[in-house]
Amino acid sequence: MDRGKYAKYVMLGPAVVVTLAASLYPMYFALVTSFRDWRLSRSLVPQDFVGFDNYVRAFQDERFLNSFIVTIKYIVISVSMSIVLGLLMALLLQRKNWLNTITKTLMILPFAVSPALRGFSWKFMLNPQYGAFDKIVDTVFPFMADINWLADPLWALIMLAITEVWGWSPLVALMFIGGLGTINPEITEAASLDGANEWQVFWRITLPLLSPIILLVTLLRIIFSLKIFDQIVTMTGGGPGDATQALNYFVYLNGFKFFDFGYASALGYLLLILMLIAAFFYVRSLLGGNES
Amino acid sequence: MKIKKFASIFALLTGLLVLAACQPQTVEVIKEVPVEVEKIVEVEKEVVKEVEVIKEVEVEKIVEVEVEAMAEEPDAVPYNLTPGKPYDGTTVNFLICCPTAGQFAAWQKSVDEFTELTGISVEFANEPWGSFQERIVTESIAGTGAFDAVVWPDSWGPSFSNTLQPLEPLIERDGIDYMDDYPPAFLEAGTFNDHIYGIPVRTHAFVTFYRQDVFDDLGLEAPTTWTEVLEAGRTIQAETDMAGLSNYYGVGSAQNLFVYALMLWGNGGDIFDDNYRPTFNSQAGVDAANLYASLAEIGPEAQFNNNEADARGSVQQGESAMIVGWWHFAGGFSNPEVSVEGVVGNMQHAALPAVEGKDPTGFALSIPVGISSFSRNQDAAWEWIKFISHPARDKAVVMDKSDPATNTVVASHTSVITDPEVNEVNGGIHAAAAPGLENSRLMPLIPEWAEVSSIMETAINEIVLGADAQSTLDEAAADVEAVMERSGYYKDQ
Repeated sequence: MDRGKYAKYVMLGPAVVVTLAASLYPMYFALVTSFRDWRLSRSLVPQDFVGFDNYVRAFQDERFLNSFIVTIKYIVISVSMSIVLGLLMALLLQRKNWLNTITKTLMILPFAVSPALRGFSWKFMLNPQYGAFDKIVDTVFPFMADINWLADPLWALIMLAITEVWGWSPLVALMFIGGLGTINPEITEAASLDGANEWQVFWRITLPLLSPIILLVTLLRIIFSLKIFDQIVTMTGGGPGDATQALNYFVYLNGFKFFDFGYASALGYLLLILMLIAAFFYVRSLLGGNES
Repeated sequence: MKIKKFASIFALLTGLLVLAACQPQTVEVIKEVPVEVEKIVEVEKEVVKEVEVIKEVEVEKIVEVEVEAMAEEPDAVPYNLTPGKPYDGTTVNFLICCPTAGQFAAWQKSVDEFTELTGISVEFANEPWGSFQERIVTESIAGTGAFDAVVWPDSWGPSFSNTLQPLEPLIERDGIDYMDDYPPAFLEAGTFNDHIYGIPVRTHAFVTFYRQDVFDDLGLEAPTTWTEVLEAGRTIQAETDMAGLSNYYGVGSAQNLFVYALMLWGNGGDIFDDNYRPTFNSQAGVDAANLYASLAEIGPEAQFNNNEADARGSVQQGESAMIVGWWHFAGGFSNPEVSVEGVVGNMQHAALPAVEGKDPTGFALSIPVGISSFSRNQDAAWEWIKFISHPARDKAVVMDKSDPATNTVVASHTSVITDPEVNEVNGGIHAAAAPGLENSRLMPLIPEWAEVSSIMETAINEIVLGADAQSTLDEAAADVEAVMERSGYYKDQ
């Protein structure tokens, strides 16, 4: 019995060591680097410790502040759209029939598409000369025909969010369908018998009962939205101007384009702090849900 | 108890791993150039003598003379290669980007010939352009010697020149006599801190491309000034369903600075002054930005987000009638696999437009080839570099039109660019670019250029989209000044 116990730790050991080495060590190294001056163009190895200079610089750097604001705007647009759309899709697809079953199976496909490919595809679709999306919008909403989607700061950000929503909404919908399935139909039936209309049932009963899942999905989406990168590279390059230069992309620019690893590490840690805050609430709500 | 033991071993292992990882980084930089054996040196001297003879011969005869030299002197090999195959069996890892570039494809095709002459194999590590810089950075930091020879766009060079091998000792040792046979800008592009780190091999001059059939139909002449470009573009847009000029205003890789810089220089301005204070927000810079933005009037709708490849694609698809860009575009314009009917055979080229009332200015870009300091096959890599950079090879590549995949006009040597035979085969594009190359400018070769260009490209994009040129450039100049100050440029001022 004891031997069996020991064996499982031995078997797990190498994987745990590799995992820790591959995650904790880079984090430790990046933390140390964030307090050092390391511009690769000057030296191949990290240079002097500079205390909190890199962090102070971030808060004095207008480009960082811009990327922070862009990220917040992006999160608000992307998360709210995917929650609303996901919920609508879930309400439409919650009834069990063969058509819904097939639809739900197919819905996972957009999520399976790689973000970079999503970006390239949408860039083509949004092209004002030959893009399918652009042509459809021009036909259905002629008053929007003059919009150059990726050349307008607001529309470029919205379109970036839409690529993410396109991939995530079906998954969010599936999560909501799962949540809707846990609501006891007797509650909604009782409300209907008491004279509540469908809107009142949804607003007063379904939505409050779904709120723990909405919270979880929101936090999960915030964490993933903070990581937006691939579509920026493939669709906008951070433009027009710097209107879609989100935080993650800004970190990349400083590290791999400007070779300033000290500053990029500090920016990476600021991004990590934002993610940890979201992750803290996510885990807390997850565990809280289990306890209840 | 056993769990405790296991936990102790586990903690010990983890600790050791972290400690090992925390060891001070030792970067093994191989700076010594291995000395050749005496015999090789002597034979080498004979080859140098042979090269002295070749210098007197016309360029188009070089290959024949090299072959004759081989016949006369059994130990001699062409292209300044080291006789006796001293690196036989070595494999050179060559990091390049853009495998579809005709010139790179031609090099790949010539590997067999090189291997036959030297016994050295060459492995091409083709990295897509989008991730090329990251690949160079990560390989440089790792210092593993994963590649022996590498190419890079000139403006990246200063950022990682500390991982490259200075080439002067090798140039001197092997009597490379064609270093003066490059336009000054091309040679300058591989030189940093007074050391040559790169030999120009993939070099580009800026030219104007236009649709000859469209111009003929509308009775237009090739534009010589930007005002004429604008006027011709307006006529084309009014008379056809094509856009006048395909521009690349998008951000992401600072390509929108190419044409802007050309106008800035042509207007008498510059990016920096002698003390590296930004000056692009001067009146000349503002006028250039406004001129650049005015061209949007004759461009396709998608231009604001277009990069260089997108803009070229617009011409290849027959959507736009003109483009100002690198001469390597010619390869695609003549390839029916990537260009539509109507484009192939109808693209003509002309010298760069000048700012009205000013002298024309040239703009050059070079992709030099160098040797990694971490390479363990530096001599073999140098053999490969000598092979691909030799004027005879340079000419052979641009003369070969047998395969669309290797069809290119990219030549680096002045003697090849001005060669009548080369010009005849390539429609005279080299002759069109040659005058511009004499006074061509390069983007600043400073380690901070990536950050500076990122700030500038954002500003230019905003101006093209309607922002006020003066205030936008002023803000950008302040940001650039902060970057330069942080790097210590103004310490003594």
